[in-house]
Amino acid sequence: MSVVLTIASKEIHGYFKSYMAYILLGVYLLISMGAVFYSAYFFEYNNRNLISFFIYQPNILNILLPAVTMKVWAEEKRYGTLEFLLTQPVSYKKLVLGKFLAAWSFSVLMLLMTIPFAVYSNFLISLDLENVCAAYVAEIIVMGAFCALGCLISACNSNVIIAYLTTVLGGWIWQNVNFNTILYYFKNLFPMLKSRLDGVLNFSEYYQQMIQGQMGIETIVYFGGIIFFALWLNIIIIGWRKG
Amino acid sequence: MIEIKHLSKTYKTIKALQDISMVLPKDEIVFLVGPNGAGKSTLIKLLSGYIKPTTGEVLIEGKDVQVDRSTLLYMGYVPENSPLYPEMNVYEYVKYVAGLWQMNRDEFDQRLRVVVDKLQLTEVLTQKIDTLSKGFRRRVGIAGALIHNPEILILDEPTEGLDPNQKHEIHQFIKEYAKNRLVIISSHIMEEVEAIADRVILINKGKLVWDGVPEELKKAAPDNNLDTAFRLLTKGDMQ
Repeated sequence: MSVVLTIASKEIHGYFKSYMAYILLGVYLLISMGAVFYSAYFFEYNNRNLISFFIYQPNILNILLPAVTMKVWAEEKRYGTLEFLLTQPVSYKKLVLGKFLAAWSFSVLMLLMTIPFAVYSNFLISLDLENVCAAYVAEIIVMGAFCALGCLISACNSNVIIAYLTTVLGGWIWQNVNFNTILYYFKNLFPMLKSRLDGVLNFSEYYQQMIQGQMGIETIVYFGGIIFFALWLNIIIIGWRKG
Repeated sequence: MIEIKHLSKTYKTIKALQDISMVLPKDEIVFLVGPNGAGKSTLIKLLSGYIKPTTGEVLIEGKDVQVDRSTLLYMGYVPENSPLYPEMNVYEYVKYVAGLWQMNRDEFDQRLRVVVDKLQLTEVLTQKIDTLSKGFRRRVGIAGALIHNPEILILDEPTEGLDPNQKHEIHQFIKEYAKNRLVIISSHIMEEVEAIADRVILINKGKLVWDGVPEELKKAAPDNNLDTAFRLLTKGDMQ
């Protein structure tokens, strides 16, 4: 575990050594608050669940988190340090986990910076605190999934710009494509599962439930599964790409 | 000790290395020499476990470097151009490497003093890596590789682009470090071979064309010169 923390700590320090981290934190707050007050009509809806805040988060994260994850592996390749890193006596699992934890921790920090806004909102409209806390936890899990996907895509690229763009595209597809069409054939093969397969892969189905404080086991399995699968693929790709 | 058995590496249709076998015992400074594109860096990468061979194996203390990652514990490796993290300072970099090796604080402090002293890095210890000269960067790369006091040190073209003073300093350091250890250096500079090598392995077009002490290699040239011997052996017109 100490190696994982060493890697994570080095990565987090790296974020703050450039202006990138500060810019990202600032831009995240700016866009999030802009979305809450201008696009999501904060004062016009019943916002006891802070729905105006959470509703736009996937779109915001899809633009900003790739800027955190794009460098994770792509920059190691660019600097040639991947060769150094992969010849250290550290398992690929620990390397991948360390880098993922760093990106995830940074994204959690982004989210934590919105807590003053939640506190302020509570004064204004008396929030349903239980639901809001559940939604914050849900958001952290969703951020984990975004980070895991971003790290995976970064591992497939040597160019950080391409890593950024492909992660944004991948995230957009994940959020917006209706996977029911992909599951259509499965549904015909197993008619008894038809109702259970409806929306089973769709991001929005789970996200809507989560931000309303209804985080069931299926939701955790869905996002946890994505995190696990993306990290597992990341480990395979790192081993495969070294030659 | 490293044992190389029938090692070959093919990149798509290019045969980078063909059937290389040798034993590299301790207490030697081994130079892998050859013209550009001969396969030196490929062999170094195979020794370090970074790439997988197409056929054959590299055994470190009897264990296959591709199968058993614990073999990396014996090794300190500095890739070509000594890649480093430019945003870190020298101390942070060396500490990071020590963290990857799970060294404890006391062990790290002790080794840091030795390494910094031997490589003359004291004055740049808190300096950012991207502000360092090429010579210092090489030394920082070597410092990272040496922090855990490895029994095998592998350096890919460590003096490339350095001035004569910097080269001399690195040579002196390698000579001292190689006692009771194995140092493998890839290079195409024959002056270096003459200065510090105990053994020369000459590779050309992926094949082993010479393995012996530098004095013997010299005798292969009519003028008793390593450069001439290198040219004759790699151009293929040796009598």
